[in-house]
Amino acid sequence: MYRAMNRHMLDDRRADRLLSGAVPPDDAPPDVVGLAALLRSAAARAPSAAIDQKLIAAMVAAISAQASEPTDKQRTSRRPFLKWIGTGAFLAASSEPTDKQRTPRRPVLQRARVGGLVAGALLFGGTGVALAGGLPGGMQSVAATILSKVGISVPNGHPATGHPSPHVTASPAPKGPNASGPAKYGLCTAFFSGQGGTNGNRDNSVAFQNLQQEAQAAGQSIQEFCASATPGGKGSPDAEHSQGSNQGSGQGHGQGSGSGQDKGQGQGSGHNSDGNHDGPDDAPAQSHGQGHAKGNDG
Amino acid sequence: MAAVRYLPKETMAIGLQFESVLTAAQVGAEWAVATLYRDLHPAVLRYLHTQEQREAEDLGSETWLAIARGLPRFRGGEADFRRWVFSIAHRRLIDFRRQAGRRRTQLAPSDAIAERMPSGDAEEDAMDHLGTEAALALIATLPPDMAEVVLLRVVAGLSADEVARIMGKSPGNIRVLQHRALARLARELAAEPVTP
Repeated sequence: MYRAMNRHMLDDRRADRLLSGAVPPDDAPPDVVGLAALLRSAAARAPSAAIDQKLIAAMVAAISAQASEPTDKQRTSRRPFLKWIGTGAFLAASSEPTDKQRTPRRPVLQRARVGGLVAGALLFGGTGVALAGGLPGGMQSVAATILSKVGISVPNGHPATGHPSPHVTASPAPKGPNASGPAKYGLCTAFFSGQGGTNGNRDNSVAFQNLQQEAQAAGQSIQEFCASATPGGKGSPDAEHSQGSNQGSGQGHGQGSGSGQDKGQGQGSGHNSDGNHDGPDDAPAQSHGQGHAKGNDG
Repeated sequence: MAAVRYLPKETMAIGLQFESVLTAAQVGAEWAVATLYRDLHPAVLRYLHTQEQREAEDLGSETWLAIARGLPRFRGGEADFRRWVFSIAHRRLIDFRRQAGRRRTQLAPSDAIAERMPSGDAEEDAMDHLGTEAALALIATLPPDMAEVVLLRVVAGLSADEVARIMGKSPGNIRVLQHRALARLARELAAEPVTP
């Protein structure tokens, strides 16, 4: 019988159903009824354990100790928000206790206080500004997060979320060196020596784009255009300057698009459950996938 | 593959009240902490005991203290909480084994298992009455990885994907392990002497 079971029952789907309890022994096919019974027995709910009062007390103490410590996020993100909404009437910045002075507070109280501050901000028109997306970048994001919890949708202030565009550039747009001027030789040398090559975004570099445009304007390929470059500029300040511009421009194009905040959020989710440390790391991820941009324009 | 949980009505014991219980526990309400403990500790202890009989109680206590330290920052529902609890229990187990420099302290002796195994000719009927202890003892004879997978699937009621995350393996790897574990258990059941 069990040889037959080995032959027939152990496809992945059936194994998964057995382990999930989706095959009760009473309804199980004859070839797996024994295994289903074994697994059901193993899964039977254990009788309630006696409460270990000492352990419960130790847990409560540990929870209280943890709950009384504001998280880094609370410390760093709340204060700017409080300052922005001008809550001097609600909570003067000078009266905000230092970390040493801070007395243990429960998260519920902290939430209540933040809630009160949000209400105050709403009264004073902060919502209107937030709805218009007119707050400074970070503040707008915080306001969007908090207001979303009370059902108000406002722009989050991020120029791009989720899929940062590799072509967003910081303003003002870089001009780059004049490829027909003294920087020509340096540009040509850099272009053909691999400087700013594939990995350095040769195609995206403003300096190399200038070079290409100049070549096109002259009705030539870059090779032809550069063939006429004189080495007189080599080693000159202009030439060195042009190479520096090339590199800087290439990096700017290659990395910039998301905000600094995006980066932080993206790194926050991730290797939660695989680590060897305890803590809320195993809680469901609170943010998703915005952390690909490295954020030169944040 | 859909994540079907074992005996959901029993494993999700707190149900609709979970959110309020969790919120109270996160601010240190003793009754709420006790509720969470009472709900999950038996399964945690069973999971640990099957793999480390002598240390199970201590590991269980360490697990709950670690849970308490992270509880104020936990976010999620009851199923998430269950997964989180067992992920911590798993780590305590791994840490213990690493510190002890051993993979496993004890295997259930085969003769003890044999004593617990059902007897008689009506095999299927006997299996229906197979005791939990005997079932766990048989699972304990599996290689550690396989036993862990079966326990997390069956005792903790987690899906293959959740087990994969806890154990740091791929879901495909978990399915291979569970497949082999079941085949091995089936062979053990078939080979077990049926003597009175």
